[in-house]
Amino acid sequence: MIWKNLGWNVLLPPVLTVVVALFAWEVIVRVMDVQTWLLPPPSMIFKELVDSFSLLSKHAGTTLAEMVVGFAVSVALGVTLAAGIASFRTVERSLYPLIIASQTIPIFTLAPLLIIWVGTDIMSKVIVIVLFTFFPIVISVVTGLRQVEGEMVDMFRTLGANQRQILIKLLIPTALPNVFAGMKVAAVISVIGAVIGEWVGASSGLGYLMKLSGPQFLTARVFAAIVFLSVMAMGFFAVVALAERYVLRNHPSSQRSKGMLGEL
Amino acid sequence: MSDISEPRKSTAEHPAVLGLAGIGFGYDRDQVLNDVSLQVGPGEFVTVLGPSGCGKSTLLKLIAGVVEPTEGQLSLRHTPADERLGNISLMQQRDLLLGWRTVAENAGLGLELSGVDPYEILGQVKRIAEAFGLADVLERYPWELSGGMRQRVALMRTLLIDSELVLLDEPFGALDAITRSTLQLWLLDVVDQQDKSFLMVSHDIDEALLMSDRIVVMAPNPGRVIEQVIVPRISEKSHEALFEPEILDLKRRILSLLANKEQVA
Repeated sequence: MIWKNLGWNVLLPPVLTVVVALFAWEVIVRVMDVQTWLLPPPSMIFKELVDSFSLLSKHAGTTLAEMVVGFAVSVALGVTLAAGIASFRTVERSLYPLIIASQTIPIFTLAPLLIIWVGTDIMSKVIVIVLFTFFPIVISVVTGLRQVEGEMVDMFRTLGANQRQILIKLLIPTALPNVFAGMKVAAVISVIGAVIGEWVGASSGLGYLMKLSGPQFLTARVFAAIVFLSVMAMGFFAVVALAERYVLRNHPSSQRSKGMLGEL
Repeated sequence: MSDISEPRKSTAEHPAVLGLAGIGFGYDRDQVLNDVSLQVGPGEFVTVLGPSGCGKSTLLKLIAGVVEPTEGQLSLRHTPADERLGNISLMQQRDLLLGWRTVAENAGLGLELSGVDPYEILGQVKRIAEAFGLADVLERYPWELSGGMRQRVALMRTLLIDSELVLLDEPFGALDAITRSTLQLWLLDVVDQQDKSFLMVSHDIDEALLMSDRIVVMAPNPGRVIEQVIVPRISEKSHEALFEPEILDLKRRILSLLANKEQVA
């Protein structure tokens, strides 16, 4: 039953939509005789995916490395900042408004500066990814930490807990579901940060490949790269979601059934 | 261990485990507690009885050290008053179990926080789990337990820390009446086996009469002590004992005390 609900009922409609859309795309391109450099049909994009698989994979490796490193830095930075904001009034007052304000700066415009400052290697992409992804992490972790009830903190204090113990044994576990929520958002948008970083200045990566292929009218290759990026983002999301499921397997937020063991 | 044959004698010859003198809490018009003085003797079970809003929970938080009184003196037998956090057990009305920890991990939380070795904690938890009726569920999670079981886990966590005074804030207030009366009798058993003093707050007269050696009656606005009564020793503590004439007389007296003050307030 559950499988059926999660499986066909959920998966079938979007899959069907995609199949129908691809078919329509293919038909329209062929019937209207659209130039393939303008809009290649799905079959051609698929052929490009197969033919250039090794080239795409090589560049995907670069992008993936940037995503993973950027994501890791972002999680570490985001959680630390959130912990500081939730624990100390001074930190909250001096940093939280600035963190929110920082999101009004179009990060895309910072990428050229970063290339000038730190060069075209992985570092500049990591910084762009961090700029993109730390915000959702900070916001959701701060929200999670603020869910901790005062009574719980009092209970810990009467048991003789110090600040560090309250943080590690109460605040962080309480906020974990929110940490994962932020991480899932960050995982998906890390791909945007990587491509933007590569677009501005790089020597490899899918963003670099797209930037190179566009002016040469290798439109099918651009599409193939987009397919790769999309799959990578979904895969990254899936990895984080699986980690969440494992880490929170005993967390009350993931409880599946309320069992009663007798009356007392 | 103290003398178990006479566990609950309120004694003048022993220094009090807890002494409150003229305790007040609040500011100007929002006076929550006013001039509260009471003592808890070694091995004694004292209940603070009063209607909702008379500052009972605040009183326990003051004693536990979560908040500081704005007036008065608080003294403990063996601990300086400013070191009472961590040395007085407080069980709050809600069980406050951590959902991501097993029963055993929840029960051992206090020991864990004071740096006791994990194997030692598990040993201690297992040793008393039987008496708490929790031996079979130590590896379960709180959401798998009934309300009564959760409350016993909370009490286990409270009693496992090394303290001579245990504060209970309406420990069974959130439970249904049948579960509550079963747990009251069970708690009496547990109390008898502990070398500790108990201070409970409650708004349930029967609960107070059943459990306590002495009852401190409070009135609200601001919370203050209006009377202290000693509960006669009844041969066997049970719910039937509540129908003994002596106890009924006492109940009548407490009810009229509370009713009079209710009218004034």
